[in-house]
Formats: sequence, C-alpha cells, structure tokens
Amino acid sequence: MHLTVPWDFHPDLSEMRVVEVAQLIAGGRDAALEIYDPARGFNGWLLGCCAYQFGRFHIERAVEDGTFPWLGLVRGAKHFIFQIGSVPVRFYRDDPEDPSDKVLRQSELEVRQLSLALGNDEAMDGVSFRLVVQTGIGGELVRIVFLALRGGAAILTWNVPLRRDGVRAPLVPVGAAPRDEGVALLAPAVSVRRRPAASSAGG
Amino acid sequence: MATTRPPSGRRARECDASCAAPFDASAFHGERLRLVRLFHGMTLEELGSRVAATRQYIHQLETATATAPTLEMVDALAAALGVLPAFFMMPLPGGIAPEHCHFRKQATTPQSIVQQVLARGTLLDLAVAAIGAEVDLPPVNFPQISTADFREVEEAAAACRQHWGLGLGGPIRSMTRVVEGAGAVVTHFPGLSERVDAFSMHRPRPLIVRSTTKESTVRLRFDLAHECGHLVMHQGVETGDSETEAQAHRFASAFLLPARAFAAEFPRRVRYLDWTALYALKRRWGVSVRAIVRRAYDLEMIDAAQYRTANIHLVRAGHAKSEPGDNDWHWPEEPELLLAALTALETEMPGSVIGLVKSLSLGRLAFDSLVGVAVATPPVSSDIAMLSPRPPLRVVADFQE
Repeated sequence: MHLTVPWDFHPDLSEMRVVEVAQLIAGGRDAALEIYDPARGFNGWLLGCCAYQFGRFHIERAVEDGTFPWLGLVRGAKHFIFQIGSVPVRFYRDDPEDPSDKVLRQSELEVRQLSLALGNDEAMDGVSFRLVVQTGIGGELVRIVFLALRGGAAILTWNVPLRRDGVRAPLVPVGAAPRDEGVALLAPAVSVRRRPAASSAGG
Repeated sequence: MATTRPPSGRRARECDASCAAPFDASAFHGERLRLVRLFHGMTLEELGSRVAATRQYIHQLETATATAPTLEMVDALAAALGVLPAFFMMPLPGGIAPEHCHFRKQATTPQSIVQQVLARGTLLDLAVAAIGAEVDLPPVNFPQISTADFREVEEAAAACRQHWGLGLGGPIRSMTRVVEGAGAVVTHFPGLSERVDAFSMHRPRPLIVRSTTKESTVRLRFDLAHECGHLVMHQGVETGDSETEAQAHRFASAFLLPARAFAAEFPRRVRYLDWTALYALKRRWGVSVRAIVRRAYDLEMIDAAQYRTANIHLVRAGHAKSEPGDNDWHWPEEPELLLAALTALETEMPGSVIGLVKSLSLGRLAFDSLVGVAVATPPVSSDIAMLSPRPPLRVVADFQE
C-alpha cells in the first residue's frame, strides 16, 4: 500500500484537522516572535522555549474550549502528546529532512495509544506521527511538515498547507548578536607644522 | 686631581659648523656627558680608555668638579660618544627620574641598568620634544583615574575603552595604535629592553618602551595594555611594588578582555577546561591562554582548583612562557608614530630630519637608535660623517589596513 498523505494512515488525520493543529503551533511561534527582545535577555534558546510552550498552550486551550471536538490530549504522558481523533501526535522544531533522535523517539504511552488507534494492522506496526516545525535563521516559521515515522526513518513527509499571509519574521535579529570584531583604528595622524614664511622685507 | 691627557693619535679638529660659536669651556655641562655615556651603557673606565683619560677625570667632568675640558677633550668625548661637541654645551632640561618610570622589576633591576634606561629615556624625551616642535603629533589623551581596588580598576579599563571609542564588546585590534593614538610614543631600547621588560615613563608625551625579547605578539599586546594601565592610574605614584603591578595587570586584563563580553564567550564546562575553545578565544581576542585562564579566575568563572590545574597543564606542556599561536594576530602591532612623523617631515621638507638630528647635536646613528626608526634622507656632504654613518634606509613598518 502506498501511503502519500496523512489520512492514508488513518482517517482521523484529515487534511483539515492536521492544518488546524499546525495553525495552532504556528500561532505559538508567531506569538513568541512578537515578544522576542534581545535587549531584555532573549536569545535563540529562550525563543525556542517560548515558541514550543505557546504552541502547546494554544493546543491545550483549544482542547479545553472545545474549539475542535476531535482534538484531545494524552494525559499522564511525560512529554506533550495530543490526539487528532484517536491518533496520538507530537510536535517539535527540527529539520524534517533529517529528523533527530528526539523526533524519532517514542514514549511507552504513545506506543500504547498508537496501538489502540491503529489496531493490529501490520502495515501500521511501529508507525508514529509528528508535526515538525522548520524555522529560518531568524527563528521565523518556514513550514510545518507532517511526518510518519517507522524504524527510525520518515516514511511520509507531507507539507502542511498553512493559511498564512506572507512571512512572519522577527523584528530584531534572533540568536547571538553579530560578533563584535573590535574597532579598527587608523594609524596615528601627524602633520608637519607650517611655519610662517620669513619676511624678506627689512625694517 | 687627575690631569687631562690628550687622546693619543687624535686628529685635531675644529669645532663643526653646528658648534660655530666660539668654544666656551665653562659652558660644558657634565650631566650631558654622563647622560650620553649612560645612553651607550659605557662605564667611566670604558669612556676614559677611549679618550685616554682616567675614570676619575671623567667622573670629575660629569660632576663638574674638574676644570673645564679642553676643546680637544670635548672633541674626543663627542667622537667617542657619537654626538657633536655642541651636545655638551646645551643645558639639560629636567631629566627622567626613577619616579617617572614604571618598571615591573624596578626593585631587582641592577642600578646600572636603571641608570641606562633613565638616560635613554631622557634623550628620547628630548628627541620627541624636538620632533613635536616640527610635527603635530596626536594630542596626549590618557584619562587620569585613581583606583583603590580591583573593582575600580575594572571600571577604569572600561572607561578608557569608552573614552577612546573602542566599545566593550570586541577585541582590541592594535594595542599599539590605541596608545599611540592617545599620544604615547612606543619604542624599544635595543639591548636594554630585554633586561627590564616593558616599561613606561610619565612625560609630557608618555613613552612606552616595549620589550623585544618576547617573540610573542599576544604578550606584547598585554605588556602595552599593562603600561597603559600605569599611565592611566599611576601618574605621580611610585610603582614597581606588588600592589601597583597587580593593578596594572588587572587593568590590562580588563582592557583586553572586557568582563561581560568575556563572560559571554568563555567556554563553560562543569568538569574540565575546553582547551580547544580557549585557543579559539585566544585567536579572537589576541590574549594568551594563560592570561585568559587568569581572567576567568579573576572573574570567578573557574575556581582556584581549576585555575591551578590549568597552570600546571600549561607549564607541563611547555607553554608557560610561549604558547602555540602567539603570533597569529592579523592587526599591526609595530610602532608607527615616530616613523610617520619623521617621514612626513622629510617628505614635506627634505633634509629636515638631518637638521633635526643636528639641532639635538646627536650623531645620526645615535638618533636612529634612540627613536627606533630610520628614515631615508638625502645624502649629506656633511662635515660630520657620523651624521649619516649608514646608507639610506629601510622602512621599519608601514602597515596599511
């Protein structure tokens, strides 16, 4: 079976739902960029923390408010896991083309939830799902990718078609400030003193 | 009283053109004889043997307790010491006294060396004043800040960086340009600097004498910053003791490695020192790893045990005095001020450097040695061969960024 879109894996992972969740995550990063201020001690690490937490908060609030009846949370997990319908999903900021260990790793609770959602289908054995946020050098959101993972590799990479007007970029540079390379001093300036021409006129 | 013995085999010479005035033996200034003798590092005996006189007689001439020397003797002394006879006939403005100097090892430096340093400093001061009369040099611009503790020393270093527009976030590209831009003259005394390390002198135009033995640009930079600290914090203060030297060291450290920028870049590891990162820091800031480790300790970024371990490592690796990459520095650290001044003078008014040398009644060789640079001048048919004892010349440093 050739699986090319999320809903090929499970009907709960419809395009509309995945896009809505990705919008919440993107909104979190945008909110973090809005308050990003290196003059107050913000750096790339703190921006990342804020963006993750704000994205998580947006999802939690949507669950609590009942904005999306199909959106839920996996309670009791060590990591933040939400559910689209019955399918557990996690989100990270990473390179979707080369997912790191933190993206690939599964928690026990997630595996149990996945087995409940996907049943005993052998084709789905060991599959997990991630929304991976890719950012630019300024910390701005570049894209969100839906990944289906199995055996430490991505078996589906699907760009989430976000509804966004233009690119939201930080107003100030993110990350370490450009390195100060010191001030270039000129060679010491000298000039010959001009002497008044000697008067040739006699008294 | 010793008798004057005319130098044997000496060719009789008339006083040269620069000494055209009738010879007045009573105008002989013995202190100038002592000054130029010490400048050359000669003992009384050595000078005496060159002019066929006793050491006692030379001493009496220097202390003005002998009768005035004959014209022949003045001539002989001038020839032996590479100056014009007129040199001895000019009054000597206030010479440099030990309290004007900041020696790191003043207490342990032999008196003969100290005297030689003071003599060279005094003559250099005269030469710089003469150059300054012809050429506008950068105005002297060293803030004067008194400090009581290391916190104030740190503040003084930061204030100086701000005062000179250097900011607090990046490396000092050229320490030599910093001090020369602030009006100091940087030079070295060949054959002498090696024995006294770098030192500085408080004069109307401060003098910084750099060491030549340290073949390490990064340590030279630290030395210059150390002397800069003395010039900022210790005018009129007798230095050479552990307290003032520690203050100057701390100033250099804080000036080259401002606390906040350093703290942001120092590689922090819980259990070990990241030597690769420390050497990268050295390349960026132009400061030795040893000084970087000391800075980290002073700022309480490493503890005493780590500091001790780091020093043991450096000593065992043979890096106590010199380290890999000591000369990997891309910016100029050669003195430029005097060379620029003399070059400008000669370019604007050819022949004026020779005139300057004459006005000081120095020989050309002595002058070049004194200022540490030599500027090509037109060939002179001077009646005084020693005014141009060597061929026209090299440019010592001409760095353009």
